[in-house]
Amino acid sequence: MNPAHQQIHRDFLRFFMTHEAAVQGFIRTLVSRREDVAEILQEVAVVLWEKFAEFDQSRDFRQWAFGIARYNVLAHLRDRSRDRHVFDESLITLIADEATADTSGELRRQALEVCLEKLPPAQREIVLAAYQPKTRIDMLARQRGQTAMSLYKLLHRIRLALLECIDRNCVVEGVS
Amino acid sequence: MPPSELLKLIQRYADGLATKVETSQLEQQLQEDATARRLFRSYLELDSALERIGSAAAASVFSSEAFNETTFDRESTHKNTLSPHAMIRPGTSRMRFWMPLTVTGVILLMVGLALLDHGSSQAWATIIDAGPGATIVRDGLSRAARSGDVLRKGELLQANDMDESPSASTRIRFTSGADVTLLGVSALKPLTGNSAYLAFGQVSALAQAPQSKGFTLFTKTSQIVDVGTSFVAAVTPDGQSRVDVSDGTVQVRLKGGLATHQLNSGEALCVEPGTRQIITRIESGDQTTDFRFPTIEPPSNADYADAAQGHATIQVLRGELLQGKGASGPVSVLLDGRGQTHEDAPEDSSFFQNDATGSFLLDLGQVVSISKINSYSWHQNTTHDWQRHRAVQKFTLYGFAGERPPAAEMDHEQAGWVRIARIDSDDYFRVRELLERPAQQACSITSAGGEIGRFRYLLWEVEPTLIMPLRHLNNTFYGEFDVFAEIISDPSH
Repeated sequence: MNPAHQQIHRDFLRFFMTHEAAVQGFIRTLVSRREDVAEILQEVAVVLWEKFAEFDQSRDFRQWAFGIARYNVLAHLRDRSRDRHVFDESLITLIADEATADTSGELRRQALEVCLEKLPPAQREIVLAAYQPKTRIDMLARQRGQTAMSLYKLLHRIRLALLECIDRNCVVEGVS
Repeated sequence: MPPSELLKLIQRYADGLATKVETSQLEQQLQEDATARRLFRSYLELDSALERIGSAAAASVFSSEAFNETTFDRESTHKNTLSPHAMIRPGTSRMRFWMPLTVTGVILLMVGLALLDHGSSQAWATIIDAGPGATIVRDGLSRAARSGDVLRKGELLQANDMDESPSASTRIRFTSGADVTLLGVSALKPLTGNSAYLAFGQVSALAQAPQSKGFTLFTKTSQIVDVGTSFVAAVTPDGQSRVDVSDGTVQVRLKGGLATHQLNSGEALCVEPGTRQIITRIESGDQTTDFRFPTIEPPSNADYADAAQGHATIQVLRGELLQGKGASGPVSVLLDGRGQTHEDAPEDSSFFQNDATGSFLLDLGQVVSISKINSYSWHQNTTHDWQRHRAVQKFTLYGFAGERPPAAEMDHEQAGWVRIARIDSDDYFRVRELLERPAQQACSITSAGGEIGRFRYLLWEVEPTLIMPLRHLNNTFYGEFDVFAEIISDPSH
């Protein structure tokens, strides 16, 4: 690897590591299946790396990455166009446009940190257990002696509590 | 629509529970209402952020298991007391760090913080040689690294060796005696006195001291345990990991896989990024018609794709096989259950015209569950010993599960093909001299999870071996493709 290439390598890592969470969140808003996100994110990372030499570093990396992610998501969804859970492309584009224009994501992710701390320990434990890779909600529910549906409802309530908390924090910060 | 009903629809959509009717209702509401769209985005982004935390916790579990098996006993006494949740315990000041970091960064941070929960001044390694520009990063602050500096828990060492020369490399010694050299631009975080996490770049490790046996290196995809002597490990920007054993034996366990892969001197293993955890292993054969390899089996006539089984057909999708003098054999030789009959046998091989790329398309007849894909090549010029470049395996393998394969003219992945693996055996064997190139090669592609994928079509996009000034007779003599697969008994699963 020559020095110029190494510099590109380093610059890319710096940009990508800064914005990876935002790109992942962006993809998640556009696809219905959680399990598709990691795969699309990986594909996007490869495209970003391959095209990084063409990227003007004075531009907004996040916007550039979102543009590429949107393209990959649409290609992915076209493959699954018969899937009953795929939104119309016009709606996907609308959501993507609004997500690109919204720059509050980083602050909201930081607020989540504070809000997780405020959750009752039992709720925090449940939400963290539910979001571990390959966790099956039905199995987790059985371990806890409840039905899958009641666990889904509990997780929903925890998420709503977190959303409210994040909104409150962001109002204080002046972005909401 | 009342907000509570909208939220319920969003929840069911996010959790994969929504019916077709519910999805349509949600879609209509989102089309019409900007506030609903904002709520929808907030909910899904929260879902994504929580998933990142979950992944970090799982990574910590993965790492702690490794420590149980290897060297942690010598370093600490509290290894098993940490639950996965305790490792990302909110309520501590550490929490503020994980949000802006990447998955890699989170894993790195969580592994380090969770396992190194005590003794903040604990020293894990000493810098023997600090290369130009090497830095130590702690809590987001960096300082220049100098020879003799001690690396303590929670510190990351970044090397910026631009020319990768050994004299400019950064070298550290762990308290166990294991020596690690950072090659090129790399970042490494010592986790204990005998283990480390490689975030990116390349390192070579030497574990000769008795206490350093079991030196363990973690990457995003794997756990590498040196059970004696040395290896080189690398992580590329797109997440591909690679391990080369220089001497001795190394055990590799992949995240998500149960099996341990043992690599001996001269062997290597690559892991593709992505959820499938695709593993590539390429081996040098005994250069006989028996096609014997250290661990990869010889060409098979019992695999699913073999002509004898009657399931599959193969054709050239793009490009032309070489005609005229030294012509290629028919493409059907790839499924005939055997390799070449001698070391320079174009008639037993299938290969493209000089200096041209091409693709082989395999139709398995139906979507099947594929567990292993092997390819075999053999070429040794009988006059010139160095001339064996037509044994090089250089291809990208794709899969497709639909009824008809997408066109090969456009970008494959945009067209719907799923990339399975990228193979370059010259790179794999780190060929620098012509004679270092094995004349008989087998490439075996598997998955840590057991199943590579469910596909009907496989596409090998092959490339010639470019050795200046040779611009002719440079396409690989492929002798056999074997695909091990099972019919899916219940396609709905």
